[in-house]
Amino acid sequence: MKKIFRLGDTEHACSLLRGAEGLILETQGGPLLCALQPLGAARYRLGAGDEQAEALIARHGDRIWVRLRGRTHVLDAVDPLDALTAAGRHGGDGAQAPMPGTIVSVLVQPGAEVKAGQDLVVMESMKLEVTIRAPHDGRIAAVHCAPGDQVTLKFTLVSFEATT
Amino acid sequence: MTAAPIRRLLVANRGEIAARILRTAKAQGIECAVVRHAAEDGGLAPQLADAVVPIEGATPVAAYLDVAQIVGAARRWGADAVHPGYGFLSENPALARALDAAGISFVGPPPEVTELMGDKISARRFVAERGFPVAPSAIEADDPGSFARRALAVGLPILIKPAAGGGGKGMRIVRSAEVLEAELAAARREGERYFGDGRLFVERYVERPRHIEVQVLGDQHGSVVHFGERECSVQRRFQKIIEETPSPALDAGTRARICEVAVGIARAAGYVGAGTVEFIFGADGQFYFLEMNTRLQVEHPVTECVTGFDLVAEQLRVAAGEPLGYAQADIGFQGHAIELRLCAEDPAQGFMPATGSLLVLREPAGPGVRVDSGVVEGQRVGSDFDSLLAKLIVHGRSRSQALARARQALADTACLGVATNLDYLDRILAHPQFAAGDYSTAFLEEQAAELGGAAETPPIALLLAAAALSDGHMVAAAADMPRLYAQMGAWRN
Repeated sequence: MKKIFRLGDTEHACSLLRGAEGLILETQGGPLLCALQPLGAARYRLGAGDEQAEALIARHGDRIWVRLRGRTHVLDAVDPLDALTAAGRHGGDGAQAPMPGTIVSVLVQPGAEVKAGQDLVVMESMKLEVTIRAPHDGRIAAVHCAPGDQVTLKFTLVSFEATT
Repeated sequence: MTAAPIRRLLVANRGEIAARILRTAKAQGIECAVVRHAAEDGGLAPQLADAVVPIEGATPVAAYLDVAQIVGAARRWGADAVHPGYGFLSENPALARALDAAGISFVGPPPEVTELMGDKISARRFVAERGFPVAPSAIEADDPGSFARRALAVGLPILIKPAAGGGGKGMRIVRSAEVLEAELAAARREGERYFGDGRLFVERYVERPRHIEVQVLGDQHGSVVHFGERECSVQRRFQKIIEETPSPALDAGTRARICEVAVGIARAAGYVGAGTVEFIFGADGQFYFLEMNTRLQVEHPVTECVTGFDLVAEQLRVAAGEPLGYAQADIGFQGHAIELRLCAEDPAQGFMPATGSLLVLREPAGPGVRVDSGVVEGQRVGSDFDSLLAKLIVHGRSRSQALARARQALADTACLGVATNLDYLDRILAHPQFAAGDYSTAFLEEQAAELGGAAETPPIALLLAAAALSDGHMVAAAADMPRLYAQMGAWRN
C-alpha cells in the first residue's frame, strides 16, 4: 500500500512491505527496516534503518503529530487521488482564511473588480485582527462569508472568476 | 475595598490565570468559584474550583466582558470578593463600582485609581505633570478633528495605541503617512471590540528599545513597595513571549532608579493592590513611563520566584484590608527567573492562532521548574480566546542556570494536536543574542529568519516511519499480521 505524507512543503511517497526481519519502509531514499514499539501513554520507541529514537506520536484524522528529539513535527497523509485532482484543478481560485476565526467585515461584493493587495475581508481570531487581501487582480465571482460567520482554516472566503 | 477577610472568592477569568489564582486562594482555605461560558471547554480552572458559575453572552468573550453577568454570578454564588485576573474587566472601573454597590470586594485598586492609571491617556498626563519622563505623544480626545495631523507632527515612526488597551491589542506602528488613516481605523475597531472603547492616542516609536517594568504593591494604609523589575523585551507584535528578572540590561544604579520612579508614581497615584509600571528603556540608558497596568500581570511568576512572595496572596491580603506588614528592605532577591509563554500559534503559518484538540500534553517538572497551565490533555482549543495555553517558569541561582533549566523544561514539554510556539521558544533561548542578554523589542523581528528554524533538518526517515507504522491500514496491508495490527489497534483513522 502506497501513501503520500506531506512534511512541510515536501511530499514523500511511502510504501510498507513485509521483509524477513520485519517491516520495510520504502521511500525515495530507498528501503529501510523500520519498527515502532509502544511504551505506553503515546510514547514509542521508533526505528528506521540505523536510526533509533523515542517519540511521542498522536494521530488525528490524516494528521500525524510527532515529538522527536525536542522538536514537534506534523505530517499529513495525502490521498494519492486527492493529490492528483488538486494538481489538475486550476480555476478554483480564491482568498482563503489564514486562520480559523470570525468574520468582522466583508469589503467586496460579487462582480467587483479588485486589484492585487486590495482589502477583501477582515477577520479576527484570538483577539488578532487580520485583513485578507486580494492575491491578484480579478473579478469577484462569489463571497462565501458574512460578518459574524465562524470559518475554519483555509475556508474560501471569496472566489475569483476564472480568467482566460 | 473593604476590611473584612475573604471567605468566598469568585474568579472572573479563565485559563491559566484562573487556575493560578484558584491554587493560592484554595491553599488559604478560601472557598472558590470560577465563571464559565457554556460554549467553552474550560480546561483546568473549572476542575480546581469548588464551584463553576455559568455566565452568558452572545459570544464567550462578550460574557467575560459583561459587568452585569460577572456581578450577577458573584451575587448568585454568594461571593464576598471577585478576583478579575488580567485582561477582560480587570482594568474596567465599572466592575469595581458595581461590585462595591453590591457589597462585594474587588481584588484590585479602587475605581478612581484604575480610572487615573488604567487609562493610558490620563495616566501619562498625571505622570508627566509630576515630573516623570514620558514620550512625545498626541491624544485623539484633545481634538478629534486634528488628530491625524497632530499624530504625524509627533514625528514618524509613531505607535498607535488604544486608550483603554493592553496586551498589544490594537497597537500598530506607522512608518509612512499614507497608511495612517487605515491603521487608525483598524486600531479603533479593535479597541471598540476588545475594550469597548475606540479612543486612541499615538506616541513616538523608539526604535530598538527595551521594555522593562516594575512590580509594585500598595496596601489600604498608604504603604507602597516594589518587587524589582522584569525584562519583557522578547516580544512579537507587542505580545511578550519571554520575560526574565533581573533584567540583563540594568546595572545596580539604574535598577534602583527605575524601581524608585515606579514606587514614586504608584505612591503619587494613591495606588492600592498589585500593579505594574511599564517603562521604555532606550539604548542610551534613558527610560520613560509607558503605562501602568492596574492588575496582576501575566509574567508575575518570575517576580514570585526571585522574591519568594506569592503576589496573589498579597493581593488577597490587601483586598481584605490588611497592612503589608513589611518594608522595602524586607524584600530580597534571589537568583534569576525566566518565563516562557506557550501559545497556540503556528510559527509556520505566520503565527496565526491555531485550534484543535490537545491529543498529547506533557508538562515539565524538576528543580526550579514551575508550570502555570490552564489546559488539560484532551481539551479542545478554540479561537474564542487569547492563545496562551501555559507558562513555563524556571528559577536558578544564576542566569545561566535558569537558561539551562529553561531549555530542559522545553525539551520535556510536548503539545500534540494543536500547533504551538514550543520549538520557536527553544530557538529563541538557543540564540546567542538571548544567551548574552543582548536584545531589544526588535530582536524577534530582526532574527526572524534564523528563529524560523529553516536551517533545521527534520529526521525524515524516522518521521516517515512514525507516519507509516502508526497507520493501521498501511500496517495491515503490508502483510497479514494480525498480532502487530492488534497492537496498533489504538490508532483511529
